[in-house]
Amino acid sequence: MNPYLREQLMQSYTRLSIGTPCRREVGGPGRRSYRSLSTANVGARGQGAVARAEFEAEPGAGGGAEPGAEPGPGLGPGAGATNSSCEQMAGLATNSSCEQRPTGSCGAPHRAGGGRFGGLLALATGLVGLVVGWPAVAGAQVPDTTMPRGIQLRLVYETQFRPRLAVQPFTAVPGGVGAGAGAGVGAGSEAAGAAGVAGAAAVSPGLRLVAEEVHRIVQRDLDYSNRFDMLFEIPERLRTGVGEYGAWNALGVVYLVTGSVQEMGGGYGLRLALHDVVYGSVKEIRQFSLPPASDADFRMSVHAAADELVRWATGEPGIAATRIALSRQRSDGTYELLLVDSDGENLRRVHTNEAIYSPAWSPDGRRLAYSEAGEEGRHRVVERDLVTGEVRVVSDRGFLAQTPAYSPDGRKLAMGLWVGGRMEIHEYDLARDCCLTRISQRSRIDMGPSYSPDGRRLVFQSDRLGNPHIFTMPAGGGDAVLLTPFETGGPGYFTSPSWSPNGSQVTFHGRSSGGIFQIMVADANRPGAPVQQITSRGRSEDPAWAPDGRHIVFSGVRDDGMGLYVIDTVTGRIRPLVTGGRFRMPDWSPRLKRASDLAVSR
Amino acid sequence: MMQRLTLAVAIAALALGSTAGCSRSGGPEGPTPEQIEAERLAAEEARLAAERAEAERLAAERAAAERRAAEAERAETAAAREILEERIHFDYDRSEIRSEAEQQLMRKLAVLRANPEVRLRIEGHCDERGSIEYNLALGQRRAEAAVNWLRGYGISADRLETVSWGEDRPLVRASNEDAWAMNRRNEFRIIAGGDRLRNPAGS
Repeated sequence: MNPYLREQLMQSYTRLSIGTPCRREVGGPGRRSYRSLSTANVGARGQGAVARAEFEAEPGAGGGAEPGAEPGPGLGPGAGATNSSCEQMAGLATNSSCEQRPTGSCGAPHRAGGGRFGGLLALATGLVGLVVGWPAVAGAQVPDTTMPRGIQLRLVYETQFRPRLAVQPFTAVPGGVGAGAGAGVGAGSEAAGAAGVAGAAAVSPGLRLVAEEVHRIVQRDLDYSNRFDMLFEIPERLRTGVGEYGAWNALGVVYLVTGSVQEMGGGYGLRLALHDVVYGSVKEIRQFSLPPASDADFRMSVHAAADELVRWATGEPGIAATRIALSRQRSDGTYELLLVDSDGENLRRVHTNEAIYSPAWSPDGRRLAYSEAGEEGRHRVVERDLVTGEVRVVSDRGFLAQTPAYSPDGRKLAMGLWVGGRMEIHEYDLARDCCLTRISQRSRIDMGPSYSPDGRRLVFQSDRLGNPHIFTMPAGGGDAVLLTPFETGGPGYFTSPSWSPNGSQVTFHGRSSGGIFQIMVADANRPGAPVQQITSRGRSEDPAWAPDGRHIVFSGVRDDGMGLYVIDTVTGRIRPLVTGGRFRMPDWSPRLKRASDLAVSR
Repeated sequence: MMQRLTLAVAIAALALGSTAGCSRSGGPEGPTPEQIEAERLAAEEARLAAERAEAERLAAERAAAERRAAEAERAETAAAREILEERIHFDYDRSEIRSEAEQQLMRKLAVLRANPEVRLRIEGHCDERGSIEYNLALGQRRAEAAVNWLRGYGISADRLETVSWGEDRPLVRASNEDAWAMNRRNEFRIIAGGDRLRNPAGS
């Protein structure tokens, strides 16, 4: 086989797979074809492997090749969707089949490639075919005459493929003895974690507990990233020691995470390795420093390490090292301002008031702006420094102020302000601590602003057409463009917009065809395009984007009560964040800690 | 009264005469000075008691009259207060004054005109549906709709305050059409001049 082509294929592993991988069932034929290629490569790299893959990819041969996905040369990413089940998911304009979809039925978009198929873009594009006709590619190179004629290889970009990932239990390594190289995987070594076993006798029970806790956090973070098909049930013989990639490969595992924890400078050293089982090698390895387990920053530090693992595997960091700010109405009617970690842990109160609405994170993650009942119950917008606890009122004139939103540069705060019998969008200059300027006009209630990631546009809600609808406009003010479908006298009612931090999607809640509020997503650049409804159960309101532009947190009423939930817009998977109370109006923080913050001095 | 006084004087004169007679004749059948004094005291006491009873009767009459007046006043104040505090209701996602609410506001207008010292706080409320923040603004719009209506009839804006509670303070904690209809409302609170109210419609 042509070595250049083979090289291309090998490098594209994370991006490309053979066949049409996205199927209706968990671990469907698509996975099998991918895995068969993996197996072939681990077992016997080279032409034989490719040939086998080709065989698997032959339409019909894999038992589940998509009949509609005909190979066609020259189709690049974005050239069009196939008619796989994922496409139906992409076109969930009226109701969401995704919410009921079994976990892992259609994987996450793979982001190893240069192109970004994030968030709903991936949904909209569906299963984009990077369908390459074999002869077209091969023709550019010296033809490989060993190839059986008449067999076509189809490479499909899997926007929703989720590689299987396993996190082996972390080892506890006694301090001093195994410092450095003893922590497990050395670059190029396949014996990750093995070193910990030898010194197990000297490991304190406390350290072992810490290792278990860190493992639990990391594993759950990776699960919540929704980018992997998690393998939780690890066979006993694979729970310690590594080395046999073949055994992992047989389980369909693409990525294996190993780790070890040792005492280090009052805290811990966490050594993590990401193994590419397909290649049979260590993809990345690094040591992170963690504070003592009693430290308030301990969990957040582990989250940051987990986010780095996601980056190693997908090219983009995870969102575990984040928090969600929210408001909760207590049984006596008063409100609490709360914070909770992205995994639902560490729920804590920041402030109480007669009313607290719509907290919003500053771009540096240090401050929160929200509205609270001021004198005689009138809402005013305040900004609170989460580090010092300092509070300042930023709606110094007008009558009723609410729904603040920071500009991406953190210099301005947009909000809805009631002046002269109308609520209009105003901008407060935070840098100069003054100057509320009106930027919307001629309406009755304009509110709920949210900036585009470049800070040049705003999405907001306005009832200028009678009912509340979603509009966009230039950030400094100007002509507003209607985004949501309008019908004269219709039941349209769309509120609480939030602009995706990495794209042109806007999420908001609106009345569904059943008359119940559900979360919806629209393309800010395509006014009038169909609005996608992404939830369908119970009642869902107050959506806010995670910093990855892929997950959305919202408040919902479900069979099991009321709470906040997180939906992955790519897979449709939903998990509860906090339940059992009137939790409302969440806002997702930016990344609060990065792997670079966990520097190890060596 | 006069008769009693005359009687007392006659008795006193008689006693004086008999004393003189006694001194003259020394007869034993005439009243002693002690008896005379006792009788005088009894008479005086009876007179005072009668005076007290009379004063009490008069006071009771006066108090009754005052009570009646106060009661009437209270009733008038209560009636006026009831008119002022009567809730008005709204359609879903609307802040327009409905026709029956207009009748209610008309009655409030009369009371406000008859009691120029009265000041009101108008609170806008919403049902639980829709975004909590939008409902806060909608409640404000409802409160101001009532203010604007009253101002249109000449009530000074200085006498009317507004506040919105959005969906935070429902009248009925339930999730059905009846509860929602009850909760979409304006409440009217008297914040000054409400101790004594004239009710132009009553009495």
